[in-house]
Amino acid sequence: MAEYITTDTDLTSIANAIRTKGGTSAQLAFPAEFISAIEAISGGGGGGERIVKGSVVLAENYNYTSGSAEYTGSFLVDTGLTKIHSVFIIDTKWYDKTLSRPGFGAASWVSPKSVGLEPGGTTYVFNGYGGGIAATASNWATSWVPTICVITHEYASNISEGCFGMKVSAASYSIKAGDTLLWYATGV
Amino acid sequence: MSRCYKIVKNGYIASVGTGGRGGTEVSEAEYKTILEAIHAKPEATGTTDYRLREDLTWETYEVEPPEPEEDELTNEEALEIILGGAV
Repeated sequence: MAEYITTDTDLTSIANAIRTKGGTSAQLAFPAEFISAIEAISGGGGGGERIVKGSVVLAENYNYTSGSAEYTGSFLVDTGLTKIHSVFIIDTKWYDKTLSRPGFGAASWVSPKSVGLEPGGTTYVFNGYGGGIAATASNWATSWVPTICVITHEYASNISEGCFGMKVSAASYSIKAGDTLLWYATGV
Repeated sequence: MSRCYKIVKNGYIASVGTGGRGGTEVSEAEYKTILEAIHAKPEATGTTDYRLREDLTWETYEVEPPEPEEDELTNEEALEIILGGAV
């Protein structure tokens, strides 16, 4: 096996590039962690489209507040994208909620139509945007039903922020401390 | 694990997360420690709840009742109906 000599400067440059692309600041040991960090980088489609992902766990209960734009609170997610094209949210509970894009006012609210899994595995196909919330807690046998919300925005040319937030839209629902929300966002 | 962060509001930890940007970056170890504290949150009652200090201790505070939805009846309206008033 041939051996090669390099410098710490060069290795640091490579590691920095991996960290930038992967959105992490962790130290990386060569070569194993270089490899795993590269493999963990999300790929995207053509034209610079990327898929990024993350999770949010609240430390506080997130309750309904009439007329408030709670996206500026603890539930603001900065995806790191310049433009969000779509957001996929997977929550462990169904809640009546809407997404917003800060800076665009009421017209930017996108109300997700939710899909969940009934006991027995029937899956409702979900797509679209706008409109009202499609399901309420009474549609599901229990409140602990995984919920997948797919959001596509209506104003592609106006989107410049890479953030989205969430608001609970009904007093009968809340998001509790400890609830985990997984999100996947596509964009550039 | 990708980047970990916490969001602090008014001196209390509001959430932790992974991925993306924003918040205050924390190590994976600190993230997991905060997560453990979150999952150990005391149960809220109807009038009190708890918020997480940055030292990972829970502080009690009084909560306001949720606002009714626009089409919900207030307690007074409901009572009037029950007692035979107008609907």
